Amino acid sequence: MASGSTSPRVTSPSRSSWRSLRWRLPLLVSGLIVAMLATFLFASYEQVKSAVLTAGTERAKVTAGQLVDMLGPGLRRLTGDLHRISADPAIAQFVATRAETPLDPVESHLRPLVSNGSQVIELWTMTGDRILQMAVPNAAAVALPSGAAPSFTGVRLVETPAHVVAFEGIDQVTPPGAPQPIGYLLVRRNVSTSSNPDALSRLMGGGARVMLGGDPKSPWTDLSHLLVRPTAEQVRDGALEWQTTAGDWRVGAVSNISGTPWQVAVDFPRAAILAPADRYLRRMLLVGLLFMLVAVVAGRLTMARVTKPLADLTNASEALAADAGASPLAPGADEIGRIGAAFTSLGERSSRLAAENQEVRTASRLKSEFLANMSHELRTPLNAVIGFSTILQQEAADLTPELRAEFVGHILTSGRHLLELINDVLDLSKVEAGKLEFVPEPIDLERVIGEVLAVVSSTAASKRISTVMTVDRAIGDVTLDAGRLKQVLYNYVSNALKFTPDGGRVTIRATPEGADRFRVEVEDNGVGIAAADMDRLFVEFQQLDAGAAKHHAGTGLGLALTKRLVEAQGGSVGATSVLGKGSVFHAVLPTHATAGAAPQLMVTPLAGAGRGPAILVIEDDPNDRKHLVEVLLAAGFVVEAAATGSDAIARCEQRAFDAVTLDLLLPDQSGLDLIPEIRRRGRNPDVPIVVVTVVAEEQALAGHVVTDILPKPVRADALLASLRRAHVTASQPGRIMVVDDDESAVRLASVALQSAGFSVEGHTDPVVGLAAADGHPPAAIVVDLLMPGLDGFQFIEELRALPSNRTTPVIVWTAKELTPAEHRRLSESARLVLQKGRGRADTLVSHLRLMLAPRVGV
Amino acid sequence: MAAELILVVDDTPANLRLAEFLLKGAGFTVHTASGADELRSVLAKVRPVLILMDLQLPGVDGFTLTRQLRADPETRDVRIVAMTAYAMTGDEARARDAGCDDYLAKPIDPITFAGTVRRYLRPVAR
Repeated sequence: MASGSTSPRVTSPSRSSWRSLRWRLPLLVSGLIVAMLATFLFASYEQVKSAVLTAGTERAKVTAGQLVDMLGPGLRRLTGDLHRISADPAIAQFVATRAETPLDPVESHLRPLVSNGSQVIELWTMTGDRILQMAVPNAAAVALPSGAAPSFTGVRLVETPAHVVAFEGIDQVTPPGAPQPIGYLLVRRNVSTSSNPDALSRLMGGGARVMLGGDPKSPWTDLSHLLVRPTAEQVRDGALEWQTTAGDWRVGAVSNISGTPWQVAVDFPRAAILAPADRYLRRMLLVGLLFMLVAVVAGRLTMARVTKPLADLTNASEALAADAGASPLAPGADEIGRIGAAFTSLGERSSRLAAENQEVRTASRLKSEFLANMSHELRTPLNAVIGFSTILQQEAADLTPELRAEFVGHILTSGRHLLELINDVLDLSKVEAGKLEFVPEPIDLERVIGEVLAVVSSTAASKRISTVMTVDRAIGDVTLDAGRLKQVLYNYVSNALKFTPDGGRVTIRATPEGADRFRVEVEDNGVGIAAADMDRLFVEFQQLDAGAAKHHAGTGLGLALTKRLVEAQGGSVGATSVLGKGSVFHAVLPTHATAGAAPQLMVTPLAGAGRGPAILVIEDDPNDRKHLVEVLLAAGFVVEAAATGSDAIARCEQRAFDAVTLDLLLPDQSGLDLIPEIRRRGRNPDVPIVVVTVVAEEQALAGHVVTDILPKPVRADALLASLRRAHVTASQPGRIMVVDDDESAVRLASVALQSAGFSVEGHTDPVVGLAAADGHPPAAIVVDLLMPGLDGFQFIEELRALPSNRTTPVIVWTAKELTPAEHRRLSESARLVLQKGRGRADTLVSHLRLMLAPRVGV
Repeated sequence: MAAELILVVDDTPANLRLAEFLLKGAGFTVHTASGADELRSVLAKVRPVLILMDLQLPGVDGFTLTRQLRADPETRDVRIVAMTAYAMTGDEARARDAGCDDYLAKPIDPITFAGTVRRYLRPVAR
């Protein structure tokens, strides 16, 4: 019973089957055309044939009529004469007496029959004796066969041996009152002259003939000397159609010669008369064949146009249904072509949708997994936070201070872990959404790496891990988002520190990679990673068994985030590891990042004229020059530097300096000569000059007014003391106003900024901050965006409305995710937007330092 | 009545400490393990009546550990309760499939925790 066999649901495309439309349609159309053509030909041929035959017989009838008219009078007269003479008593007497010599009366009676010399008149007795023969010069004598006389009756045509057709009239001679005839009168006359074959042929066409006859039982004579005769039943008045003994069909007409027993028949070959019709048929057949050929070719072409795309469409549909992927169909302008094109795009859409569907399903699965992982990752630290805080709340009194401190420590660690997790997740989602902004800026790799190492220095110190940094100068200039680079390095370095045992070593190396890339490697001599785990390294929430898991609870997102951050900047990441020996994580990045994902707010140092006393450093030794510049910058001066005397003069002609440091040994001229030139040329007649030199050449300086002479190497405090003595002092780095409704944020920023040497004025009420800024414009303002009452956007707008603060630099320091529109709004009024978070303000400090640094003209 | 011996397995130090503190406070004897290796070395020395098993562990996870314990005649009858941050639909079923007798989702309630654990110690038909 069970019919368990499953038939294949999709049949394979039968491309050349006779059952396909591709063949059936042209065949059907061709068949129809052939049938129609045949019907038409048959009907028209029959019509033409009948018309041709009718016309032929008509013509024959007319000819026969003409012949009857021609022959009729003579034959009628002859017949009348024969009857009259045979009925004459004198003739009867002559026959009865059998006179051997013709009598005059008989002769005179017979004379009318002898109208010319081409006939014979004979008189015969009933016993068969010829009793009279009047000679005819040209005609051979014909004897009546003995005993055959009784069958002689009427008139007939006979053919003589000389092929002269003769009229032979026989009548019985019966005396008046006698019951029986007593003899016969015979007259024979040549009649062949009355027919003209040539004329007849011209009239009727080739093969026409004329026959003369009377009694159907008696022979007909072909006047055109053809020895064929129609059979009796075929001869009738009117149209004639008969078959000769030779098998040829002939058509013609028969006409009676009135007053005589004779008829004239005219006929000609049926084939000849049908020739035009046959020619017509042949021509029509040819035309028909041509038509058919054209029809089949046209049909095939049409079908090709129609069914080829249809067949393709069918195959494509079946392929699509079978998920085999349809090949594109030929496009076209007509409906079929459009269907094909539409189908092709449908197919493409279908496969695209299928692919997208797959992607969506994968994404959905990944999201679910991510959610499950997030749930787990959040619950794990929350367990400690809630657990310990509940204990602290419930049994605080019963706990020893040590326990309390331990539990608070657990809560804090878990809370920080949660914050780190959330930041990582947000960053990850931003990278995924392509919303992470990169703000490339010229950076000093050594400095960036140094800053990262500084952040982890306490961790490294606690584990007695030495950190080593090497940066290959060949890398050249680097333009990258410093913050993101630090994030990447921090992830690598903190991982390295986690997995390196106490007393180990972590190395950061930067080397060039090709012309426009560089490689940063972080190497540790930690536990290493098993080969089987290498694939999972950069995947979310994949924490490897490092054998020391309890010492480092990472978010499981760091490396995944690192990978995306690097890839988003056009770079790549990777790692190599030897189990038990250590790992090397690397990132390859372009030296010059091209574009940020969002409108960029570039940090530009303030055009700082007037932000502090300007010092010109004239020093040809690069190391000494760098040292002097740094000392002066750190002290808050605006610094320009010149390596040659001519450069120094040029700068002095440009602007007035508050002080000059001068090296006496310059490549192009002596420092001593430069002193009067500085004073004489340009705008610095009374500028204090501090001479910096290897050898104190106080003698040489006699006559020159200089503020001080300092020996190399110059100590910072000595230089600054000299300047102070010349009443050249730098102002403080600046007063920074921090406006944030979150008091802890204000405190965090204040502590960080103060430790960096800034004076800080914090406000939790933006309105108060605004008033304070109006009264005493700060060097820069750091403002939060989300504040009750007056939000950051409004704060900046109102600040810009104050004449006193039109150009005060503003840094937006916020946890808010900015929309592109908000970015644009801020790009005009704020100098920089910095993301809050990670419980630190070091980014803020470094940006403020950079922003407020006096211009260095080196 | 001797204090019942409970083994807590968790890779997060704070959570391990929390469970240990709460259970000790309720009068249990508590041993801890942060991973498979420690679990084995603890089991070599003592025989707990209950194992509170974290499921997400580095290396050999809690599911595998539970299956291994169930396969070992020595530890086949130890009560094992999953104590995990896997708290999504289906996670409890996965824990029970692995051989856990019961399931406790993190974050735990510190006030009822000891009582809940005590309930796990009541004899149940296996």
